[in-house]
Amino acid sequence: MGRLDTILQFLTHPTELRAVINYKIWRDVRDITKPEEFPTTFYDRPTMRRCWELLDLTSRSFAVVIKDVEGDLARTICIFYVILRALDTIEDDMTLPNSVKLPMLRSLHLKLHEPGWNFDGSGPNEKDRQVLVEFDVVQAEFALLDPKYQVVIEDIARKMGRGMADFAALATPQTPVAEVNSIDDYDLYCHYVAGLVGEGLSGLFASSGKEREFLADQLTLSNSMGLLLQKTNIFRDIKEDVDEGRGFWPRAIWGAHGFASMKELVDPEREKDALFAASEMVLDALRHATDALDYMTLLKCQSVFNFVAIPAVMAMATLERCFMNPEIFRRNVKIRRGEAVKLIMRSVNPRDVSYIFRDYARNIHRKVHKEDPNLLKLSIACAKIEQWTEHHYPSFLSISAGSGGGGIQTQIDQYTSDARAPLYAQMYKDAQEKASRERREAYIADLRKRGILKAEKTDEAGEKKEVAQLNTPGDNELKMWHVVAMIVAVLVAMVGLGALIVWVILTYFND
Amino acid sequence: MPGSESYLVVGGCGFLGRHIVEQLLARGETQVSVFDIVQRHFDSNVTFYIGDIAKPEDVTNALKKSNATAVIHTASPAHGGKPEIYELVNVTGTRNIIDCCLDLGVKKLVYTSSAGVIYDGAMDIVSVDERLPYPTKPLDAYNRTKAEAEKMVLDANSEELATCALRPAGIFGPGDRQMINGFYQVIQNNQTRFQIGDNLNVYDFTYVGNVAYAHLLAVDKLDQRYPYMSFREPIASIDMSLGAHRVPTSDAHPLGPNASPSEADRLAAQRFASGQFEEADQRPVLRNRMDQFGPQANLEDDEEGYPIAGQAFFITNGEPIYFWDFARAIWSQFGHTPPYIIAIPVAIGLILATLAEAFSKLTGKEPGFTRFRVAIATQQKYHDIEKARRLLGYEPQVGLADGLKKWTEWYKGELEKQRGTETEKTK
Repeated sequence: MGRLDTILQFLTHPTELRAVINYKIWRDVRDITKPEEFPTTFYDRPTMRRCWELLDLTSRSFAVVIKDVEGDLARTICIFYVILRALDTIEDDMTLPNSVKLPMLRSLHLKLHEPGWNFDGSGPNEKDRQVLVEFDVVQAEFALLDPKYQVVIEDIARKMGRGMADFAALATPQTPVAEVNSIDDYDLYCHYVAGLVGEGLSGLFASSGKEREFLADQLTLSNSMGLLLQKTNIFRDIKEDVDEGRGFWPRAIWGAHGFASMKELVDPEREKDALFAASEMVLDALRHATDALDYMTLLKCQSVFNFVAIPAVMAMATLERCFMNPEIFRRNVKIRRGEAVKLIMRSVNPRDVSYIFRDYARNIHRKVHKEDPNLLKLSIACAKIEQWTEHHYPSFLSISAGSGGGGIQTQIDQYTSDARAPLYAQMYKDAQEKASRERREAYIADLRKRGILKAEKTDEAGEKKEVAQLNTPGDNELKMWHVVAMIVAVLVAMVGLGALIVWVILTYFND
Repeated sequence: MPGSESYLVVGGCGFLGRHIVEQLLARGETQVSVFDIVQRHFDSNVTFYIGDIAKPEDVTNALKKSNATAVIHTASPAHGGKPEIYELVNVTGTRNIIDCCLDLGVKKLVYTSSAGVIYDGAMDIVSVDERLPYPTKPLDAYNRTKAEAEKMVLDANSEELATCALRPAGIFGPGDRQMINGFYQVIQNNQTRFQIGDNLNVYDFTYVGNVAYAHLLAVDKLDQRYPYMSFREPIASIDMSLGAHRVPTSDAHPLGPNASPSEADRLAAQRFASGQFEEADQRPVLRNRMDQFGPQANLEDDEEGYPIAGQAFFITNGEPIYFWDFARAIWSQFGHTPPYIIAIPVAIGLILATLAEAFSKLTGKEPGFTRFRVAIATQQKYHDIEKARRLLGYEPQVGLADGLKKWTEWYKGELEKQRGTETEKTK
C-alpha cells in the first residue's frame, strides 16, 4: 500500500488515525527478544530464535497475536503454527506430483520425531518453502516442548495431513486442484485445514492450565472458530486463487447462480450474478458467527482471549468489507490498517467483541441487494447475531470501571427504550436488598454466637431493638456527640480568646 | 398418545383454530370437536357445535355434548373491531370457558393469548422472556382484554384444571387474509419503495403451523414437570431457514473423499450422520444472574421439577428478522422488487401518518397509513422462546422461508379464485 493511500485513509477516517497513535503509544506489545522473556520464549537459543523468525516469515497477521500470548504458550503456538505451515506448503504446491505429495502429507507428523529431516523439493514459488528447508530446526524445538503439548500437536498434524491428502488425491491432470462440490465437502475441507487448528489450540490452551480443562473437548465450537476464519479467507481470496488455477468456493454455491466454472466468477460481464454467489458465501460463513461468540465466552485468560478474538473480529470485518464488493473479483481486498488497529484495541472482552460482530452484521444487512435471492436468509443470519448479543449482553446496560475501588459498575441507561430495563433495574434492587438482608442476618447470628445477644430471644421486635442499640446507629450517635462537643468547645475557645484580647486591650492600652 | 383425550377447539373455524384441528386429525385423534360462531369447514370426523362464546349456556352445551377432557381456546375477534366485541369475546367469553371447564370437570385448558399482551407500543421488545410484566398502559383495547383473559386463565390453574397460555407473535400462513392483504396492497398502491426507519428493527413472525403445533404440545405436557437438571443442558440453535449443517469435528465427520477409510473413520462418519453429540462436546450452558432460568438451573435434581401448568409461553419461529426484509421477501414472492428504496425517518413518518389519519377522518375512509403502523414498522419486537423450547419441547417445524412460500402460494390461489368468480359475474 502506498504512503499516499495511507495518508488518504487517515484523512477520511480520522478516528482510525487516533487509534493507530494510541496503539503505538499505549499498547504493550510483548517483546519476545528481551532477555527477561527468555525463560519462556527461549529467544536466546538459536533453534528457537530461528523458529520465531520463521513465524515472522510465514505469517503477517498471526505473528503479532501469537507473540502476545502469555508465558510459554506463545512459544508452543509458534511451533504449532510453523508445523502447520509446513503441511500447508506441501498441500499448496502444484509442482509436486501426488506420488510425492500424498505420502508426505500423511507422514509429516512422523518427521516430528526424526531429527535432521529436511525437504527442499518445494516449488520455487512456494513462499513458505523455507519452513520445509529448515524443518530440522522446527523438529529440534518440537522435541524440547513439554510432552503434553507434543501429543496435541502431533495428533493434529496427523489428522490434518490425512485430510489434506484425501482432498489432494482428487486432483486430475485437467484440474490439478480438485473443486469442492457440496456444502458438506466444503465444511469437511475447512475442518481439515482450519477446524483442526481450532481443536489443537483448544487442546494447547487447556493443557497449559490457562484455560479450563473442558475446553479441549469442545470440538464443535473449536471447529466453528476455525471455519469462520477459513471461510472468510476462501471467500476473500477468490481472485488470487482463480488466477493460480484453483479455488475453494463450493460448486453447490456458484453452480446455483448459473456459473459453469469458477473462472467465470471474475468475468466483469457477469458481475451481478457473481456478487450474489459471493453473498451466499458470506451467508454460509455467518453460520459460524454465534458459535464463535459462544466459544469466546468460555475463555478466561485475557491474553488467550485476545489471541482468539482478534482474528475473529478481523474475519467479520473482512466479510463486511468484501460483501457485495465487486472489487474482490479484481484484486485482494483488505481492511484498512487503521480499522484493524481499532479492532485490536476493542477486542478485549466477549461483550465488546459481540458488539463488534453485531455492528458488522448490521452493515452486511444494510448492503444486501434488494434482488438478492438470499435476502431473507441473510436477514435471518444477521438478526441471529443481533439476538445473540442482546440476549447475552443487553445493550442498555453500560459497564464501566468503578472509580477508586477498581470494581466494575453496571448502570442501566435511563434513556433506553428497551422494555427489559425496568425489569432488570427491579431485579438488581431486589438482589441488593436480599444481600443486605443476608448480611444483617449473618451479623445477628454472629452476635448470638458470641453471646452479646441472648439466644433464647425469639421475639423479633425486641431483637431488632436490641440489635439497633448495639448496631451502628449507637455509634453514629456517639460520633454526633463528639462533633457537637467539638463545635461547642471551639466556640467556647474562640469566645474565650476574644474576651481575653478585649481584656488585654482594655487593661494595657486603656489610657 | 392419540385417542386418550377428547378435544374441543374453541374457535376451531378460525385461522389458527383450523390448523389446530387439522393437526389433531393428522396425528390420528378420533375425538375432536369444534365450537365456533359459524361453521366454515365440514369434516366427517369432527363434531361441530355452533354457539356464542359470550353465552354461558352455549358454552355449556358444547362442552357437555362433546365430553371434552381438554379445551383449546383460540377464539378471538379480528383486529380492527369495536372494544365492546373484544370485551365480550376475550373477557366474558374466556370467563365462561373457565367456569364451564371447572363445572364439568375438564382437566386441561390451553389458551391462545398473544405476544401483544406485554407490548405497550412505546418500549422496544428486545429478546424478552416471559418475566416481563404486563405494561401499565396496554397498547389498545384488544391487547388489554387479551391480557385480562390470560390472567384469568393462569389464575384458574389448579389441581382440578391445569391451564397455560401461549403467546404467538405475528402469525402468518395459509388462511390469513388480513396480514397478507396488507402487504399485497402495498404492491397494488405502488408504495413498496417507501421504507420508514432504518430497517434495523428486528421482528418476530411465526408460521401458523408452528403455533398450532405448540398448542398440541401444550395439551400433551400440561400435567408434566420439567426436570431441573435439564436446565443445564444446551439447546441447539434454530437453523430451519439457514439450513442445518453439522460442523465436522475430528470425532464426528463424514468420510468425504477418503478412499480407504479406517474403522475409526467409519465410526466418525456414523457419529456425524446420527446427529448424536459426545457428552463432552456439549457446550456448557452459561447463565448469569439476569438469566431467566439462572435460579432453576442451580436447583437440586431430585426436586419435583418446574411446572408447565400455570405458565405463559412466547411462541415464535425463533428466526427474528429485520422488519422490512420480511415485507420485501413477501413482495418478491409476488414477483415484485421495489425499483429503488426511499428511507423516511421515523419522525417524518409519524407526521405523515398523523396527517393521513386526519385526512381519512375528513373523507370518512379507513386510513391505510397510521401512527400505529409506523410504530409497528419501526420498533423492535422479538422474543426469547427458550421457555417454550425447554418446557414444552417446542421446536419450529416450518422455517420462515418455507412458511412464507406456503403462505404466498396459498394467497395466489385465493386471488386466482377471486378473479375467476369476478369474471363469472361479469359473464
